[in-house]
Amino acid sequence: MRSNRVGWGVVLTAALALAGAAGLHSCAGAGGGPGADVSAIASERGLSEADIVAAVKTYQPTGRFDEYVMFASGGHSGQVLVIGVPSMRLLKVIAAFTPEPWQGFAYGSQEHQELMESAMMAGHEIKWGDTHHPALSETDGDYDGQFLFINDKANPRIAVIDLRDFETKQILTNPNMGTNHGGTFVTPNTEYVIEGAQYSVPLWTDYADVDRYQEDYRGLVTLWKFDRARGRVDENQSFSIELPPYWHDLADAGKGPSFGWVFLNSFNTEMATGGIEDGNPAFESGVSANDMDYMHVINWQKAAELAAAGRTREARGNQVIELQTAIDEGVLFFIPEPKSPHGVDVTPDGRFLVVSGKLDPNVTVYSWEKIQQAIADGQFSGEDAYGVPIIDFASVIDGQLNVGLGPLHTQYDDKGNAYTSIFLDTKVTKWSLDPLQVLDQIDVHYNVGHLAAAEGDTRTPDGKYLVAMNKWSIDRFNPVGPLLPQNFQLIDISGDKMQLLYDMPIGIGEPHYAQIVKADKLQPFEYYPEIGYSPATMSASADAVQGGEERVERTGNQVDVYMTSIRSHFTPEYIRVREGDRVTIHITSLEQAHDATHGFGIAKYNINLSLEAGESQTVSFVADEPGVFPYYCTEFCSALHLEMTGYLLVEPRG
Amino acid sequence: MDRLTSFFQGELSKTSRALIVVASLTMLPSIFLPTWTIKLRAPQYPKGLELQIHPNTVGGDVREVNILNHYVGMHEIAADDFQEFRFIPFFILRFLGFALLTALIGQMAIAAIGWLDFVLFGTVMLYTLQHWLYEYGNNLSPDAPLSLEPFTPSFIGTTHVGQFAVASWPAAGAVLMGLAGIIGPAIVIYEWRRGRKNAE
Repeated sequence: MRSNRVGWGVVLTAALALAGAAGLHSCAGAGGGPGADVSAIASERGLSEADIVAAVKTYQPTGRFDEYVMFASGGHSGQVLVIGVPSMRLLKVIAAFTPEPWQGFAYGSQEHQELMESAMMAGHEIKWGDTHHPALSETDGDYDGQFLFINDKANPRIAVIDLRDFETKQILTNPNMGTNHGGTFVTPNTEYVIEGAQYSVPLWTDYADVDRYQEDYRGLVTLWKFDRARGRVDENQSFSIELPPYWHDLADAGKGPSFGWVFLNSFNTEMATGGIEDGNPAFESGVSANDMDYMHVINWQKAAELAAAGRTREARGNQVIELQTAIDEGVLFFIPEPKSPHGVDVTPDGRFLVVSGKLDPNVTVYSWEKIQQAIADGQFSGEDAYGVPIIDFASVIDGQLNVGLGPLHTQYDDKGNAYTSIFLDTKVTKWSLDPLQVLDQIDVHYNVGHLAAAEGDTRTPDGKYLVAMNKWSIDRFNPVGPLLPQNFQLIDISGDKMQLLYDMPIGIGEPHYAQIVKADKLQPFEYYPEIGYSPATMSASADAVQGGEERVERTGNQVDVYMTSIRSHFTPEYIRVREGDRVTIHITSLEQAHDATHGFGIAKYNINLSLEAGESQTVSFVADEPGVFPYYCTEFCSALHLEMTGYLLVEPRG
Repeated sequence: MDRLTSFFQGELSKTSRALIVVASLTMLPSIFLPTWTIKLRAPQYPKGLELQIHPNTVGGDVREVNILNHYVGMHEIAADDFQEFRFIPFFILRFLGFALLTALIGQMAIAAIGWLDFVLFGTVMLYTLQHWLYEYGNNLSPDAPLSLEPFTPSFIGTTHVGQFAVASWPAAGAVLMGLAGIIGPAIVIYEWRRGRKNAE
């Protein structure tokens, strides 16, 4: 299919060149319609040949699926964006951390209410997230299309999304972190989901002033044990490792020869504590004083053994391997890395680690073989203030390459090349690992952050598409006020030269990372496999209501309504309660047709459910406001959608 | 006249007996296969909907078709409502047994009776199918949300109802039964010619 389209691109370009050469512009008008003169349309719209090639490479006719699906962070929305590649069409917004009316997520559903309550932090029901790094589940270092994880930096949490129905099943809270950043990343068989903290906070004590920073503040990395059969993280088998009070950035898991290890960037190894208001150096300069920070090299297999053996200490209910234990048992090593690094990316073969220090124009390539040797030989150049052994920088690097100002994140292709985002130069640099040399550069618009290449961080990258996630869009789109969309730019990396294909404005805030998976790896449900299925448990619901079993049961002031929805009616169509009653509606969709979704919204009660075919949900509320409240199907389900309605009658207390 | 009498009293050749066995074996899978299919096509069903009428039940997208039918007040399609489903599989087995018995006894008259019985059954079943299509399309509830002119889909061919094109065609089971049925006249022709040859 794809080669076919490239073929057409060539044909069209050739046709244009011919038309241009012969000066043919007349025969069909630029008005459009099949058979219209392509070159006339292009010339009227001011499109170049390259534009037309880009259009032909990305355009998807109606009904044609994209070859890849990208899961992108939804930034401050706290959600996940699902985008087709190469068309860059938005396919779905998955509710991860934030109430989402379209998915009926956390608007009255008891299942979602329980999930939101489990996701509370510091006593707050949190209604946003700062999602950063989605991670697809992996088998043998390749995406398997089964699950997706994503972190919320602002409130250190992780969401677990099941890709059978693209719904969030679990939200993990990390009571020992102030914020997180180095997550989510998975180990090659999704044994663990990695979460690294960012700004250190007191670990063993609930409160300590910053003047106790070095004594009481600590960094942390948590390894969440994933139970694939249950589709949930097993919190009891999860553990953390105490780290010095540096600030931690991104992480990656080793694979192949480096399997069993996690690599984690750090900054603020200066342990600066800011305080510009007191005449101290501001954080921005204090944390950037040293030329080198420390890449953390962590043996997660050994750490897991220690945790299993109970070599941990409890902190706020979580098991933590103490820093001294980690040092003594050879779990933790440091290697200097150019200052303020913003990404450590393991090469597809697992033999090298690429680190970009955003304040250093080089990418630094570390050899895993040399690191392993240094650890085995006990060749350390010293230790940090907490006694963590430091591996000598010069002895373990494979080389350094100047790729431009402000290198950040690296992805890979299938030909031994790497692609690094260059923030200050606002470019992407393509370079080869062997020999270390720059091959190509392309401008992006503007201030690029992460990159995502097709399967570009797996053992087998596809080398097809690269998306540059740009923080600023400035002049790329129609002006929409001072707050502008960010710009996802699609780049073709299949040839020697990179070609910019498409700009996609992201109309919600601050997405970070994305992963791009081959579309055929995803095998989602067309509808829930049986009538009365609970997405919360991914099994038949005990409260499922079959057709003909609809009823209302009253016990004292508890009213249980067993309801069904099917085109185009709810049964029952009246719910009669008294003011103050606790009303619980168990509602099952009797549908089994693809895309036959019903909504269930109750006026003025802040309730809206989305009932996909076969789905069963429960909504529970106190009928605290007397009156007559229509409820209706909020999805345009059928020709008689408007008629799919009923009345909640709340009789005033006499 | 003698010729006809002797023809029916005559004994079947080994070839004919073998053909009767073949006919009965051809019939056998039709007990399990769909006999008739009704395909519904509409813009919002790109894959179409399909009802498969088996000897003993209705399969396919029955739920979805019922949801759609309720809008026009059509009676719900439920396998339990069809008395035919209780005995059709046994009828097929009966024909099968009768055919095997005929092959054993090998008399033309018995073969002919069996065949006529089978053809009569087939005709009655086609009539029944048409009858049901008439019943479903014409007995529409007056309380239905959408009022539709009563309609009768043809048991073979395509009928248009609302945005749907309803195509009704024999399925594998009916085709096999048809093939088995054709063997009857084939035997008659074969035996008639054989009889003439023997007479000469």
